[in-house]
Amino acid sequence: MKSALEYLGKSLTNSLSYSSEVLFEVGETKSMSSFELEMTSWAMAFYVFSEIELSLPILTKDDLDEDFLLKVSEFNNEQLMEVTQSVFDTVNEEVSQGVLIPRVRGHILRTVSLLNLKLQNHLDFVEKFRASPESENSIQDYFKNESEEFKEWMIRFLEEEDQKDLMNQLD
Amino acid sequence: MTLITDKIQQLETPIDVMFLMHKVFLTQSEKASELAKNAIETNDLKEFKSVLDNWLKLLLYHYQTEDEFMTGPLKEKEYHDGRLGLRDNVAEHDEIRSKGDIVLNDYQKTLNPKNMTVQEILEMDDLEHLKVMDKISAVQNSIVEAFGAEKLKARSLRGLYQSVLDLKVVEFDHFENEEAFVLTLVREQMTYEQQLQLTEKLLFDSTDQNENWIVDFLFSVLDDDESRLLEELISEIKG
Repeated sequence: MKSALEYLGKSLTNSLSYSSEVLFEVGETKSMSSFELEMTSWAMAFYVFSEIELSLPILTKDDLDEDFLLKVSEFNNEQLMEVTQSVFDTVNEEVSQGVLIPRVRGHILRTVSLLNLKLQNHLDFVEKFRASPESENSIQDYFKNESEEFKEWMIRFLEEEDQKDLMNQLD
Repeated sequence: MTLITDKIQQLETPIDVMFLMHKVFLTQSEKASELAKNAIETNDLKEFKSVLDNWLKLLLYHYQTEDEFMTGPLKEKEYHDGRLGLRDNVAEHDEIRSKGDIVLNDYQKTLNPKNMTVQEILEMDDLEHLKVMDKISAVQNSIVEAFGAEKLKARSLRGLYQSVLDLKVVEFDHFENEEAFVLTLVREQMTYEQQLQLTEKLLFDSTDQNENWIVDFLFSVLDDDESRLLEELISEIKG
């Protein structure tokens, strides 16, 4: 059975790739608002991911003690939040009246790509030092105290195959 | 600004050869970034390295020639927003050279990712800020072992892709600035004959055994109509 982190981790990386695709379509079949909506959704999902991750126990290994790994984890999460913010800052500062010029598209794509790089690196960290069968929270545990509205939003954020899987688990 | 998808219809003055050259450079950077991105999945950097080497060789020769024979002889002009076209152009060249070094360095990391330092693996240049510096050397082996060769390789490939993207973005911005602020000065301050001489320096590398390597490369990328424009210009240069 998958944990909430596993569901979210995969969808977070895929969502960033999709956001980059949306950016390429801005001015043709998509608008800047579509991109901003994707990124807002992403930021909300990442917040949930971060909340779950930071609630899990750290798994120490060899010389890597809890203090060190906790600091790395917190640092990674802070960095991810900062880069997320810088995506929105670039959009606010450089996009005028919804018109995306090639230069600005490049700036935004570079930052989204950096976000994806940091996320994937962090997911490796989580896999090694956070998630383990003993410490995993099941998705049911996580959703226990959440509203129906939140559950629906979360399901919509996931990839199609995971949506079905998750709904089966929640039934 | 010349985009890869733009078709260049004519060269009004010799310095307009820059539009053709910029287009070819952008095509190379696009190709390099695509190959670096694919390598994250395939682990194969063979073609990437070849494209990267060509791209950087072209860029380095091009900027060196511009600094010496184009921006060097021109008179500075301050634009209404405070921009100094020539000073900024030279600074952008330096930034691109520095980004090129980072790409090469990141490529080296992909060859032996186990040699990456803890800071590089964790992307934490400011580990000192976390007050864990005293532990860094002690945890080096543990970090490498914990992630394992496969994850470290993937990490190094992602880092390489990002540095290629950084280079591509600063290169694009630079071309846009150069076309707007510097080529205008070239047209204002250089005679047609001086522009032809400058263009010859940009297209032919007299220091290389094969002085045609630049034009050969341009012809290999440009379409037939654009190649014809280049051929006409070369005929004029060679007189």
